[in-house]
Amino acid sequence: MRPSIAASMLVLIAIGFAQPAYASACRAREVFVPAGVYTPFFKTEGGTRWVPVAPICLGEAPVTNEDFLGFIREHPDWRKSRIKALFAEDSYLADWQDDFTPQPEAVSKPVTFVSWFAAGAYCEARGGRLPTVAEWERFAGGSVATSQHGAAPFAFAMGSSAPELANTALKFPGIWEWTVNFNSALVSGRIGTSEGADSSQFCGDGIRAVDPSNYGAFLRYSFRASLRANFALKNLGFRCVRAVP
Amino acid sequence: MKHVAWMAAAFGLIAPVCAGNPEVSASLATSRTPAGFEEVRGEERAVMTSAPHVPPPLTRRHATKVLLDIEVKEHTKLLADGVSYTYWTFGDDAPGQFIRIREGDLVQTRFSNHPDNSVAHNIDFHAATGPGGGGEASFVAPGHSATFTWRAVRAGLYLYHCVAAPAGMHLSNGMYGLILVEPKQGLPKVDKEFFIVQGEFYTNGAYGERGDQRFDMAKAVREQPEYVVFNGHVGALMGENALRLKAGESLRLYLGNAGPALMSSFHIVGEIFDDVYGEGGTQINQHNVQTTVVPVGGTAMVDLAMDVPGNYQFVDHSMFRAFNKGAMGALQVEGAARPEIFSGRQSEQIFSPGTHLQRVAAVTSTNADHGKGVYERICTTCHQPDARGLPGVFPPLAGSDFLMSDAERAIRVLLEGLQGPITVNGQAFNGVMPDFSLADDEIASVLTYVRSNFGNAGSPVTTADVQRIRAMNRTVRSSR
Amino acid sequence: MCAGGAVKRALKGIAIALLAVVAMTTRVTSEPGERSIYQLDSSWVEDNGRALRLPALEGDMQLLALIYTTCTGTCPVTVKAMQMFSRSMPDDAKERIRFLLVTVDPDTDTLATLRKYRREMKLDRRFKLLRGSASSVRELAAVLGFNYEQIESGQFAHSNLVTVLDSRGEIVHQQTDFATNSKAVLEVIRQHPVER
Repeated sequence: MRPSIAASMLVLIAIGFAQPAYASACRAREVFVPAGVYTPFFKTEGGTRWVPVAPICLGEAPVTNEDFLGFIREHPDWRKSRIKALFAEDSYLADWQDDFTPQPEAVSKPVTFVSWFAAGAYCEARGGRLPTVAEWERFAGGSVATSQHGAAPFAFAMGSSAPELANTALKFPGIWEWTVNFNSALVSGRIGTSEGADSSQFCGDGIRAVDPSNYGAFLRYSFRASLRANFALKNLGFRCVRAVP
Repeated sequence: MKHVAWMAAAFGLIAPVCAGNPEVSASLATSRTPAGFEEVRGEERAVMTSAPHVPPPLTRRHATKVLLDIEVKEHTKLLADGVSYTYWTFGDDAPGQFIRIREGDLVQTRFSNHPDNSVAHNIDFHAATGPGGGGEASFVAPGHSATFTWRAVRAGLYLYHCVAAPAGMHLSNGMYGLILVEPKQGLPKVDKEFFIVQGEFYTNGAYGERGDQRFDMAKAVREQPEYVVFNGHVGALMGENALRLKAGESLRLYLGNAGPALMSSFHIVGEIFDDVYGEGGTQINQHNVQTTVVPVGGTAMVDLAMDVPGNYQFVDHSMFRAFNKGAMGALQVEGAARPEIFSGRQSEQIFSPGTHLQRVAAVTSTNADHGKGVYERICTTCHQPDARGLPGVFPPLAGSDFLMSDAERAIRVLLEGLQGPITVNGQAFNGVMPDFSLADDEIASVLTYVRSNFGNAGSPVTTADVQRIRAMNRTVRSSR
Repeated sequence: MCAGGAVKRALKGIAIALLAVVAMTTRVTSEPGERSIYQLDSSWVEDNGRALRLPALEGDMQLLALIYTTCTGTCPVTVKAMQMFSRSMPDDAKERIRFLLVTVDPDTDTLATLRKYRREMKLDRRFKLLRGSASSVRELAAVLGFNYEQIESGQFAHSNLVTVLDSRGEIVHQQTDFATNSKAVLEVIRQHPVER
C-alpha cells in the first residue's frame, strides 16, 4: 500500500473513531455510517483503488409508499398523471391505484416503479440525496444473496460487510435501489469479463474487476448499466442519505 | 396529459412512442440491397418450436426479413424430481425455442425482458456477426425491450445465449437455445429431426437433494456442476419423453452444448453416426463416428439411420455425468426385428472351465512375477536373459551347482555381494558382484524365481529367510 | 426540474400548434415536448463566460458530446471528427445543427481551459463549450444514457456516446462510433424538418 493511501486511511479511521458525537445528528429511522473507504469493484491499470467515503446519515430502510405519498401531496407535479416522459416512463407508480392511492397492503412496503428523477426529488425535499455507488456498495454490497423460492426479485444485498455497520437496524427488503451516479457503471451489455468494458464503447479501458467470482457485484453493476434515469421498475426503489454536517 | 391526448386525437396524430433511444435509421431496414448480399424479399414471423422438436425444413428459395420476438422470463421450475430451481429462460423453458431461418435472411430481433424479472439480460446469437453478437444492442433492464437487426451471413447450426454479466451464471440458469441457418440449397432431407442441448446446473445442494436449490458460484468457478442434463431437466428425454422414431427412418439430431464448463462426448449407445457435421458447420466432415464432440458454446449435427428396434440411451460419454448427474436421454425405435444385423441374446450356458490356478510348488509366499521382474531388471545384464552367463566372465545360474547347493549362501551373496575365485559347474570364475541393495522381499522373490526356472528345481526362498540372514550378518559384523 | 413558467407554457403551446400543422407532411414522433431534455432547465456557463440555461438551446438541432479536456483516449478523436463534420457538412445541413461539448470535469476544465481547448482543437463558432455543476452534468448524462466515472484525479472512464437532439431538445439519434461513421448523423439531420 502506498504511503499516501495508508496515511489517508489512517486519517479516515481516526475520523471514524471520533464519530460518536456525530451519531446523534441522525434522525429517527436513520442509521449513522461513519467515514471509511470503499474498494470499487472495477480497478484500473493503476491497481486497486480506494475511494474515501464521508460519514452520512442513511435511511435504515427504503422509502415506503406511505412516505412517497406524503411527498407527492407536497409536490403534486410528481403525481403520475402529471409527470413528463423525460422524468419517468409510463410505468411510473404502476401499482398505485391513482395519483394519491398506493395499494393498501403495500403502504409500508418500499415504493417501487419510481424513476431516478422522482427518487432524487424526494430525497432533496427531505434535505438529502441519493447515495453514491460507493456509499451504497459499502453499506449494502456485502454478501451475495440468494433467490427466494418462487419470489422475484432476488435479494441481492443482504447486508453490509463494513464491520462498523454490524448489528444496525439496516433493512434490505430485497429490491434494487437507485444511486445518484448509477450511470458510472461501465459494464457493457456484453460478457461480463474481468475487463468489464469494451474499449470501443468506453474510454478508459483496462478496467478490471477486483474479484471476478463476486457474482453479486457483477449483477448489481450489470443492473445499473441497464438503467436509464427515467426508468420505473417493479423491483427498483431507493433510500436517501444526508451528509453529516 | 389529457389535453394533449385530445389534441393528438383531434389532429389524428399517430405517435409511435420512442421508449428511450430511438431506432437507428440504418440502411439495413430499407429495401435497398447492399452490394454483395442476396436480395431480401418480403417478411415473415420466425418459425420457432419447443424442445425437442424442430420446425420443418424451409421451402422458400429466397432470403426474407424474419421478425423474431424473444422474451426472457425468470421463474421456478423442476430441475429434477422434487428439486426446484429458479430458471432464467428464453421463452418458457430451457433450452429456448429452436429457430429455423435461411442463409441471407435479415433477422429483426425484438428482445424483451419481462417486467417481473430481477436482473438485466441480453442475447448473443452465435449466428450474428457484429459486436457481441447482439449482446450490447439487446442489453435491457426488466420491463424493457430492444430491437436490432442482423444478417445471417453464414449457414450452420448456432447457439444463442444470454451474455449479461456474469455470463456464466446466466448460462447456468438456462439461458440458451439453438438457431439453424439453413444453407441456400437446404440440408439433405431426413425423415425425423430433433434437437438436444446439453447444459449444467450448479446447485448449492448435492445432486438429487430435494427442495428449492440455488445457484452456487463457487461450484461454477470450479467447474463442478451437480447436474449435467439434456434439454434443461433431468429425464427431459427419458421414459415418456424419449425421442420416438421408426426403424429404418433417417434421423438428424441437432446438438448443442451450452456448458458453461464441460465439453460433451455425445454417443448413442448401440449406434453409429453415419454423417457428422462437425461443430455444427455445413459440411459433412466425417462418417462412421461412434462419439462426437460438442464443444462448450458450440454445436454438432449428426445423421444416422437406426435399423434395429429397441430402446437406445444416448449420453455424454463422460460416464459419471451420464449416471450421476443426469446426462442421459433415450431414443425409442419401433419396428420389426433385424436379426441379420443384431441378434440379441441367442443362448445362455454355464461357464465352468476349471480353475486356472496351476499348482506350482515353488510359488508359495513370494510372487513369481515379482521375482521375474527383479531378475530382468537387475540380473540379466551380467547373467543374461537365459541365465547362462558369459563363459569366463559371469557364472551361469541355469543349472548352477553353486547356486542350488546352498540357499543361505545365495541369500548372503545378494545381501553383501561376492568377490574372489569360485567354481561353478567345474568352471573357474573370479569377478566382482556388487551388493545391489535389494529389499528382503526382492531378494526372496528373485532367488525363488531363479531357483525354480532355467532348468532349476529348488526350494523357494522366503522373505523371513532373508530377514534372518540379514539380522545374523548384522550381529556378526557388530561383534567383530 | 419540472419548471413551468407561463412564458414557457406559451412557447410550448405555439410549438405544439406548429407541430400539428406540419404533422401532415412530415414524420411525427411522440407528443411534443414530453421528452425534451431541456426540461431539465439546468444552468451552465459557456467558455466565453456567458450564462446559458438549457432551454435556450431550443431551435437548432444539436450534436452533443460529453468530454474533458485532459482526455487522451477517445475524446480527441470524437471532437476532431465533430470539427471535421462541421467543416464538411453540405449547406442544407449546415444551418440546422450546432455542436455542444459539455465537460464532465468542471474542477479542472475552467472557462480559461475550455477557451484554450477551443483554440487548440480549432472549433468554430458553431461549437458551444459548456461548464456546469457536478450535479448538472450527472443529470444531463443520466438523461442521455451516458456513463462516466472519475477513476483517478483528473481521469475519467466514460462511454463514447454522441447524441443528436432535434430542435425541441428530444433525442433522435445516438451512436458510439461517430469518429468512424458520421454519415448516419447526416441522414438524421436531413430527416428532421426545420421548426423555427
